[in-house]
Amino acid sequence: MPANRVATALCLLPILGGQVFACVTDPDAQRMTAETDGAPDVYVIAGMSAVSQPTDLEIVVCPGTAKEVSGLVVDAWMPSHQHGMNYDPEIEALGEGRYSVTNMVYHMPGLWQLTITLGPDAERAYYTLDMRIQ
Amino acid sequence: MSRIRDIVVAFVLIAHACVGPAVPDVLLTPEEISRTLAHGPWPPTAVPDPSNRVSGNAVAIALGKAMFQDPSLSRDGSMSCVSCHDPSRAFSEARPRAMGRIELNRNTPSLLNLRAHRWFGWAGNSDSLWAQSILPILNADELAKDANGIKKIMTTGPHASTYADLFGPSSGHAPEDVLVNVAKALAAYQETLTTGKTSFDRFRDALEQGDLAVASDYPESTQRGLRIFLGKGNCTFCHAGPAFTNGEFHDAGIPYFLQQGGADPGRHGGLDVLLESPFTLDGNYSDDPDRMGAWAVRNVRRKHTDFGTFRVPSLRGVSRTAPYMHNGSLPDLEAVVIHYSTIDMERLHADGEAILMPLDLSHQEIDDLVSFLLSLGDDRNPLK
Repeated sequence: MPANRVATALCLLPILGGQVFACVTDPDAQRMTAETDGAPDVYVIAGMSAVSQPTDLEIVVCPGTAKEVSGLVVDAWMPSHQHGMNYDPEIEALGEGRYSVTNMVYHMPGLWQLTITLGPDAERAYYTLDMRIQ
Repeated sequence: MSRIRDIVVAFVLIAHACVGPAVPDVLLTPEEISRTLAHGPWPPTAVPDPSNRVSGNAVAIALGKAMFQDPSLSRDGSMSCVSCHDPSRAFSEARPRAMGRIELNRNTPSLLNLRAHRWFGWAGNSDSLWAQSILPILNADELAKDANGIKKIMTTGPHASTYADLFGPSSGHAPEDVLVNVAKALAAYQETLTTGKTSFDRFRDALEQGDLAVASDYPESTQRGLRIFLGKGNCTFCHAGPAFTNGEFHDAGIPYFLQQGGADPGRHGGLDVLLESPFTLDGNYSDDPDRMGAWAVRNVRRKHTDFGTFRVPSLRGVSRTAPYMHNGSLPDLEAVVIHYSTIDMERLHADGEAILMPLDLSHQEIDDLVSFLLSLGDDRNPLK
């Protein structure tokens, strides 16, 4: 195989096998958009959601950065309606950067934005993910 | 579920294309069909309330029905639950504001289809139907009874033996325990007050099954009204799901100032009552050892924008529950639609939700939307 084709294949490999190299392998995992430079990758694994019914998430904070995760705040709001949720979700640390989030309640159909804030206070990192609830 | 819904929608569209123009049209777009499916199926499967150990119990239901009509539930025998919750009016009443011992501040809500609710009462004072049933019994402006009086009638009255069969002899119970048990029997009865399939449900089910011939029976004016409901009306944001309510609390632009001065705090006040109540799903009177429903009262957020917001009522059977809104200020469905069509933005919370805005509906659109709302209450066997 010509050298340039080998090089091309090697360059494509991380893209094609992206999930293999990420810290999660769940095919339903969605990468959140980091609003802070240098922040670790964060993924959300969300089950099916029904309007006004409590639902659960799993948050995965990938390792490999200098920032220590000392706190996690999870929330959601509807940007077009300018309102948030009516209930505080419950968060449980599962270890190894994984967090279980329960009782997320999206009380309207439409576009919600999931927001996550990672501590520590002095070096907070913010993330968002758009989610459509039907 | 959304993938199944997409498959169904695709099937309907293919079938629609094959049938051709000879069959009356289904007017909805694929997106509208998908959103229509989310308003069913109906009726839901009845699931006993785990916090109420007599939920679904036939003896308790019979006792609850008897107590619902029994004036001995009131301090002086002058009134009962049916005094306001008229069975012939979908368990609501015709007057704008309920008449207890005095005129109250809010409209008598219908008791239809309460099983699926998370919060009860216009302000969500309670998180269970049995807890909500306690409040008018004790309210000095309503039945004005107390727990001792309830225990007395359950010890010496005509229902004493039935009570004993369900809960054990009341003589061995604390008065508050008897009160809660009676409320659970009342709740068991109220859970049975449900509505059946309407013409909307037959339309919705036909779409899900790809049966365009049956779907086309749904009048075009009513379909147009449904499209407004799903689209420019923004109704489905709050009136969501099979019961046509998201069960939460919103500002609908109805004034909350009271004639006698002051203001109705709505949900803000309801949370005060709820969080001080010993009768929540997180409390000792719940029969559910797992406290499955307690997450809501534990985690509910308090916001200043809760002031003057009220629970979104279900639209099932809405044609039978006039007048409308928390204070009964709108006499009929046309008035409700016109209210939203011409809503005064100055009436809404300045920092509240940005959902409502004047719809500027035409006369035809108003008629169409009313036609749709009527189709949510035309079940052939109401209270089935």
